[in-house]
Amino acid sequence: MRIVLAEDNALLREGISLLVKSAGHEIAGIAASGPEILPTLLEHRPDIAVLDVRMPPGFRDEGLRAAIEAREHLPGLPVLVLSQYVEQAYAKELLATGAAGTGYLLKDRVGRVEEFLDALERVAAGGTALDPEVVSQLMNKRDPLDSLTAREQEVLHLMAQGHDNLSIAKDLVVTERAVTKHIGNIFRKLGLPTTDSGHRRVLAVLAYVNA
Amino acid sequence: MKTAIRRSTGATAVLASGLQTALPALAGAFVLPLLVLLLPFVPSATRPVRALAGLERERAGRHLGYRLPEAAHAEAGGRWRAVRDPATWRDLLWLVVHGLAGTFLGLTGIALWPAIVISALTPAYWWLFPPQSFTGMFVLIETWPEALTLPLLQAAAYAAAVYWVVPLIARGQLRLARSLLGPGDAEVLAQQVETLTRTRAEALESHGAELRRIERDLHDGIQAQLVAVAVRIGLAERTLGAEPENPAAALLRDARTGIEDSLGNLREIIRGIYPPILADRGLSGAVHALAGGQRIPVTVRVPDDLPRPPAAVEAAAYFVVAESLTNVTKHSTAVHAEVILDGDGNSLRVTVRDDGQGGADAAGGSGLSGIRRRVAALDGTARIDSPVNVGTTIEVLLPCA
Repeated sequence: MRIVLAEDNALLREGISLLVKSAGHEIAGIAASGPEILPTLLEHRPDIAVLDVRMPPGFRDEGLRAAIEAREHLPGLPVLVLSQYVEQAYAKELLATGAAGTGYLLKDRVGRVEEFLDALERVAAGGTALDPEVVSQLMNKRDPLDSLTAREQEVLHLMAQGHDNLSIAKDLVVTERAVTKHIGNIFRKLGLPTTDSGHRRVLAVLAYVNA
Repeated sequence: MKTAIRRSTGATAVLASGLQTALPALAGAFVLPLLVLLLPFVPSATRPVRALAGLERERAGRHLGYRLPEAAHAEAGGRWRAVRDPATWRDLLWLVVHGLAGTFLGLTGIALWPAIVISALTPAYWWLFPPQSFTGMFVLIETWPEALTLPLLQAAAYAAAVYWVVPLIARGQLRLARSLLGPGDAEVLAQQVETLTRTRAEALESHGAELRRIERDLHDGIQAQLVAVAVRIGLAERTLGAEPENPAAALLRDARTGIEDSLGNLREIIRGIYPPILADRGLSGAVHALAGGQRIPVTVRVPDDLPRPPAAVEAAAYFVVAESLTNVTKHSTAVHAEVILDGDGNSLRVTVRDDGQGGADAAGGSGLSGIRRRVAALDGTARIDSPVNVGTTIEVLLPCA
């Protein structure tokens, strides 16, 4: 797939380029500063935008603002936002533009190449990828989920990150059937509407933790 | 002997030169009542006195070897300004004291020298006067033995005065000028406070710039470089992916997780120095983000025109709000909290209020003592009010300038 990458650090830009190319993707365009992001996106209309939050000239949250703005001009554009630190307020702003095709990860995760590529593809396909730290921050806002078992809380956490049943099962080293059962329990206990589709399920979970 | 003579001649010169200002001052002292009556109507009537005081400061400065600082006169403030100005009254007091004492001491100081000589030479000429009539130097001299002893004792007394008393008086005269014509104690203190305030504000400002620079350097420099390295290691791992038994794969994994740990530590350090969200969004945005991350609703009130405080103050304020809100969630059973920021550029006030159970121990509690420490480091004050069943209010005042 075709990617537009917005990152001001040349070394990191190069690293990410190498990485996505190694997985057979293509860097369609590069933005090295905040104001370049939107024009680059409009010019190349990529399958996904990978954006750093802090960019020149202001070194504030240019990348995040550009992501939100891009969503207005290119509805449905998958956006994966990378940052040196995660902030639940940013996640909320980003998710407010739609959770479909939205990713928000710590830059640290890029080093876990397989996981990062998985997240990249998931977001490009209209899924969600939220950093575990963001999910923790969002969960902190909720009253303690005492009604859930420890295992169910783990499953909820992974769901909120955007993982599907199979990936959750692999992560927790249990069968997919067991995961399905846990999810059923979670939805029942939290009073969430049961849905079959993986993505709508994530949305329901996010709506819950982000309430 | 030589130095003693030099000391005495020097002191006499001080007193003699004092006549330059003492004689005009004496003249001024005679018209003093008129001058005082004029003050409310013609504040500039003090101008000649101030000019004379200026000359005296210069003279005293010449003798003391350093420039005397000028008194801070009130230059504005309407017709009563001269009357209300303490410096005016110190000038006038000097005018009287120096006019009278300066004239007398100047003349006496000069006269003492010939007096020594005249006394010492009495035996040479006293017999030329008719008997019973020679009363030179206040002593009646009638016989030769008297003429040969008393005047010499008298000369010695004058010399002693020149040697011991004149230097003391000269020093006193210079001190009088310094203390009455220089800035008063309150003014000196006020000036010191002003200087200290300015230097602290400058220190705070440069320290703040430094904090922002360090945060930026760590964030955009070292952190980004570490991530770039981690990506390359990850790529190398991917290349080796097919050979999980390869010892190089394990080494690469260790290297990558090591970098991940460093990145995590670095993030914590940066958060402690200057939370990045402050750089991104400013104090108001950062506090709104904090409030939005709480379990209970938190109202934030920040005036739109809140002046941006120095970075160190921003970081401390953010820390106070974060700690306070953590306490609220952990201990207070509150259902609502409120964060208020206000300030005028000279100070920033942070108020965090909840409607919980109160009863927070202001002295104990790691959160509260942490707040106190952080606030005290910036010369700020923290007040904790926590009546049982009413709620807890934490109010922190941080000087910004």
